[in-house]
Amino acid sequence: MDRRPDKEIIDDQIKHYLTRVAGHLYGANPQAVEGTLEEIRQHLYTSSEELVHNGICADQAVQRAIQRFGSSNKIGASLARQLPLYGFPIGVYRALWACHCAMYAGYVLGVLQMIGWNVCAAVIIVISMCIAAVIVRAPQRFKAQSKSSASLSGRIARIVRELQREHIETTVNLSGTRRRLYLFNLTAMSIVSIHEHAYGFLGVSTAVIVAFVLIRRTASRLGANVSA
Amino acid sequence: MKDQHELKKGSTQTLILAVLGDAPSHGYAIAREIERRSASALKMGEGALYPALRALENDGFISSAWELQLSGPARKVYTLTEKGQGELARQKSAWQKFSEAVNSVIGGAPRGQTT
Repeated sequence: MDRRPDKEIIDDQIKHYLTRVAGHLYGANPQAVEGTLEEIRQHLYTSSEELVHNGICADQAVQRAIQRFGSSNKIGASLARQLPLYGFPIGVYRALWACHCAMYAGYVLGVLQMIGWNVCAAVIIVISMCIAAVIVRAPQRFKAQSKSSASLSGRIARIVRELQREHIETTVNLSGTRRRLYLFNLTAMSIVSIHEHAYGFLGVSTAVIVAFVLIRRTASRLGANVSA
Repeated sequence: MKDQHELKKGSTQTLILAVLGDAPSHGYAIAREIERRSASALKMGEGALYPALRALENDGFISSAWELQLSGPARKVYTLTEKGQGELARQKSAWQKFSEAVNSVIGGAPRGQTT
């Protein structure tokens, strides 16, 4: 029995499956990603080979092995939560944080320009204080930290981490037409802002564009398959 | 009603620790060993094993190393750490208490009878 075609069939389907899993892991530590994908590849290959030995044809064997392994979306998302935090350089993270702060400042300034100080100043101050508390993780500064505040702080940190991961993943995976529309929209917003002298919103769109370029350039340098 | 053999959330990690408690092993072998020990009664997506392994590694309960094989490519082999042994003992005891509690309710004393 010629095993070569079987091997090719199995390899090909496993490769497709791994590409789908890898789609969820952009931004994660590249070495950790590579190691995990290799482990999954070996697992699926051994599983498929066992089924082939039991008399199932290669095509069905690999499909059954993949089915037994589970949905690529589910596995990819679970792995993304567990793999070491992004391989993005710390400098890029700081720059992204600066962009987010600039976006927030831009929104505040834009809203103030539109509505005026009297109406929303109090609301903005409260929101700012909440955000600042989250950023500096104020609850952790208390020595006698209660269980509930520790759990809340941990939950917030997880949410922030998940949001950052999703933001990077979405930006890296943005396809051709959607990417052009997204940039067109931002450019249009900038032009309108300049025309209306709404410099706050101009700041927002500029910060969004800077963050967008920064993420894609970094992902590209790290070897991620950035969508054209 | 959900499949009664579906694994309780979080129990995958306990099963992995139990398997690694006997001997170091790699991902595929862990999955097969769980299947063998449960006589195929426990159904889980084998892929769920890897995020669980990463989580256990992040918590310091297991460690891993790529080991060369006599035939085929190197495999990542997982070993239970000292911290993991303690966790396994804790989880075994918690599971025992839980199953005893469920058993006593399911096969419990008839209504009105106090024990």
